[in-house]
Amino acid sequence: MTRLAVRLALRGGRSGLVRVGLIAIALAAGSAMLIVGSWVLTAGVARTDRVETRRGGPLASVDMLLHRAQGVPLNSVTSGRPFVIWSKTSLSAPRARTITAFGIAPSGTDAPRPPGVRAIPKPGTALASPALRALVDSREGASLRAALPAPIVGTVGNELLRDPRELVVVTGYDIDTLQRIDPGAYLLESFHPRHTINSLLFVVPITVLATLVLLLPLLVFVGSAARVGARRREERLATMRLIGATPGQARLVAAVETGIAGIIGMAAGIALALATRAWLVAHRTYAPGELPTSGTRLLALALVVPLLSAISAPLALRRIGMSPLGVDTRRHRRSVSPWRWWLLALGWTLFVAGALLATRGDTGGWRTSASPLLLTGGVVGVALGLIGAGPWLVQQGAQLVERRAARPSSLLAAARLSEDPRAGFRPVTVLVVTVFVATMLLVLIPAARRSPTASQAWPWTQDVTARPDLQVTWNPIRADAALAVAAARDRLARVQGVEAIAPLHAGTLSPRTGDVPIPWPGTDGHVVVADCTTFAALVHGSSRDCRPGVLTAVASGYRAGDSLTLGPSLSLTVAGQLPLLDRAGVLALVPGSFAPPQLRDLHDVSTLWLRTDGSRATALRVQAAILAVAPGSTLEPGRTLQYRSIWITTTRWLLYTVLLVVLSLAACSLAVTVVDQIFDRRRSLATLRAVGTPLSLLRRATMLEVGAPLVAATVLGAVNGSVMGFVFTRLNGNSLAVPWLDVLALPVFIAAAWLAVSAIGLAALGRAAPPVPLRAT
Amino acid sequence: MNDGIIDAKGLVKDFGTTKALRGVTLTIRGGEMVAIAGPSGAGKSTLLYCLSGILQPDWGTVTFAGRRLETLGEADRAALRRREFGFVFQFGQLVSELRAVDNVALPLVIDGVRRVEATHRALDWLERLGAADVARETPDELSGGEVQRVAIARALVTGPRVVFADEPTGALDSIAGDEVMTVLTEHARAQGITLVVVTHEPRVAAYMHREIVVRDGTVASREAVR
Repeated sequence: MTRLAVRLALRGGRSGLVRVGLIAIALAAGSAMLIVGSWVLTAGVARTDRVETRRGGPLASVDMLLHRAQGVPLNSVTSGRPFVIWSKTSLSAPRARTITAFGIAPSGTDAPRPPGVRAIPKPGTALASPALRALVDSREGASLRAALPAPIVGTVGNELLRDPRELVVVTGYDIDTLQRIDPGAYLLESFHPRHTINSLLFVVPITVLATLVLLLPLLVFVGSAARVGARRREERLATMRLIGATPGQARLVAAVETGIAGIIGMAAGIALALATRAWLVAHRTYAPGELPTSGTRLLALALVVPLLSAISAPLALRRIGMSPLGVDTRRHRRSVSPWRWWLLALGWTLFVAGALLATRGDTGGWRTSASPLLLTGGVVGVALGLIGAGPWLVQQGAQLVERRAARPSSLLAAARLSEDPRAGFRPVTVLVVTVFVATMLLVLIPAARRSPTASQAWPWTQDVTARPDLQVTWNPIRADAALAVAAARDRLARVQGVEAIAPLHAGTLSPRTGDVPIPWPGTDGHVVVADCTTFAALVHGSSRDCRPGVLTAVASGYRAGDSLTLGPSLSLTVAGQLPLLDRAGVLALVPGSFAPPQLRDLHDVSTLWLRTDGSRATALRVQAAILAVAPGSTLEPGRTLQYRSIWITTTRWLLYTVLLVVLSLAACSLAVTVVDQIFDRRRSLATLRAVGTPLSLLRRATMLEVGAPLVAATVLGAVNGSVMGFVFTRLNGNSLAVPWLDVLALPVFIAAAWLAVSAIGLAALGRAAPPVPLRAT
Repeated sequence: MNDGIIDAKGLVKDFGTTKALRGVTLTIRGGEMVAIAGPSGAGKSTLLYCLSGILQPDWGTVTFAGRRLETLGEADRAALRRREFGFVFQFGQLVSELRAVDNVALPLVIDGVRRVEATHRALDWLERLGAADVARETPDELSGGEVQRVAIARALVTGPRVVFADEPTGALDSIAGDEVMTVLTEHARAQGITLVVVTHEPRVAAYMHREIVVRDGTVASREAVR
């Protein structure tokens, strides 16, 4: 029987092959997305852990610095175990890239080694990441060789790198030299692997949501593909029953067909994932070890995908009554019950409960764990609830229109939707979920970013943009930089058209406090010392307290009033947060005129930001002045520096990528469904043509039939998504600026794209509608 | 002199290698009731579709009331079918999602008649045909005979000059078939409508004034007016 089923599947005619092909394509895309998605998620978590690990253990650098400042021997602050002095600074590289420069000074041969470093480089030698070695060896980076702290003698392994493209140099020093070069260097007794991302709070919700958002369109697409040529297949199954096959045997035939499609799709999916992996590795986006091709994941997929697809066929046949007398499609003629709203209500209840718990986020314990789970459950519940409630809404609307329709196209569309609202809503199932999730995120992200109060609740969502008109950069940093800067400032201040000058003492900083934890990885970063007034003019969105002895802003995790010790005899009170989490991590803004000299002395001025009248003449005058007083520096016109939140950037990138993938799949699904529905009803359409119905009228009717549920789905998804976003932010005590443009543009864009795809599907109407099908019975 | 409302000359129609019509010439006069009879595969339905402008013949001409159908565009032929012709098919071929009354009213609504007016006229025709009690039912809820009565109402509601019926009793038992033919011919006669019926049943052909027998794509014989 199985052999017969295989033969029937492979010789099922053109529609059979199209069906198998479409299912295989959908499954291939889905399998590949799941594999690559899981790779990327795992790699992302591992990268965060690696960055944290190389920051070192919990020993406080500040303690060490204080001891040193007070003349206490280094050994007295260690436990007697081997240690290294570890520092992190940065260097400029061509094309605005940054080299992360680690310095290491071991206490002895048994000192702990950082991950990825086989042997600690001897003083005066350095190890480089593969990307840095390649850059130094290239013509573009040849001049960089002299700027590096020491000659490169070896390569750093990927274990130390955030990603394969990262430019990293690890330079060996003796302890005294390193402490002198970088007062911010600190002592480490070990490089313990650190796990900073809570799987329960981050990985699980992300995985559930991503799987839901990715799998739903796939399942709908597979469902749409399985219905292609369904009538012919059903007739074949009925014929089998007529000649004595049991219902089970008939279902086996269907299961084998989709099972074959599953095997093909799985194989193609794995091949696609491996090809994507090869591309990512070749472009050094990921290291090979970050995307493991271990057998377990692939084997699980190889078993699950064909199995699921094989099971789906008999499930799809539930609605088909197969008897020897023929096939009867059990059509839903009962009205859709309003009870279909219950899941939506449940989802909202879970969500509100989770959001209420989140407002007490600092209580810890079970609330901390329950809140994200309730929120995730609520989002999933509402998404599924929308799928359940959609047909009811369509039915009510269609019945209303059917009673009042004056135009034949409206009458035909409304009658069709009223008769089977589930079938009418099925093609837009994915749309409602996509619009819901996307609208919710679109409300949350920009609203949080624009809100002045949101930065307290979600500091990692903030962007700050600095727009200097001109920028003077010392590259490489000169030994007499301080003098050169002072001279340049004086000279530039006299240049006509220059309105403000902000010298930036930018460099790495490792702030520590005794009782304030650093909540987010990668908090080492820039300290920028700038004149308060000038900086406020340059940095948009910064309105910070400017008083002597006050840190204008530091990264997230600190609260106003926290005391932050930054160096020997250097302790400042935090006035407010400036939550920046770009690659620089901490950005501490200190009013330059009030900054303690110790802080300014920590770092040289690397950059001068200029605000000018914007004229070319001023730029030329500035250039002449710079050439006169600081010939080693470069002048760059008007480069906007955007410190974009990783969270914002990544989420947006993910959102739009997922949207693109989901909508592409959903669009294919819709097109397949529309075409299949038209062919399924071709005799009915042919009759209408025969009695003189214009083709344009049938097109309008079909467009309305697709468009009405589409509008309902878009409105339903957008309203729920917007309200959910607003409720969440309100419950967090934030007053938000409503991003109406974003909120409204997305559904409109999606709906327009959707209708365009529907129109493509309607091209089939011309072929399905001619009167010829009348001859078929 | 030719007083035919429909004149067909030398109609040829092929479907691939199958020659459905091989030069059919005939004339149907206004108010006449004509049966096109013949065995299965003889080309009866193809002839009916060519006469009604549903299909374009590969060769030959069809003239309706002095208008050459092959010179008309698709939109004009659709308008012609909507306003001048009515159709009854073997299985009724009603729009399954619409109630009976809406099915009957549909050609009027398509032609621009207001929904209320179209529904009123549809109900009137359903009543005349003895199907008023099923006006609110959908086609799936109707018997074969009821479906055909609704289909006849749909064909007559626009006041056509010609009704084409393709095996109108093919899916019915003999009693229901007789009822349908009686209703159809009575109303065609009363309205002065030309009726062209394709059938392979002599019993159905007996209701007509004249029988044209088609065999192998050609007219084999023409029975005299009864």
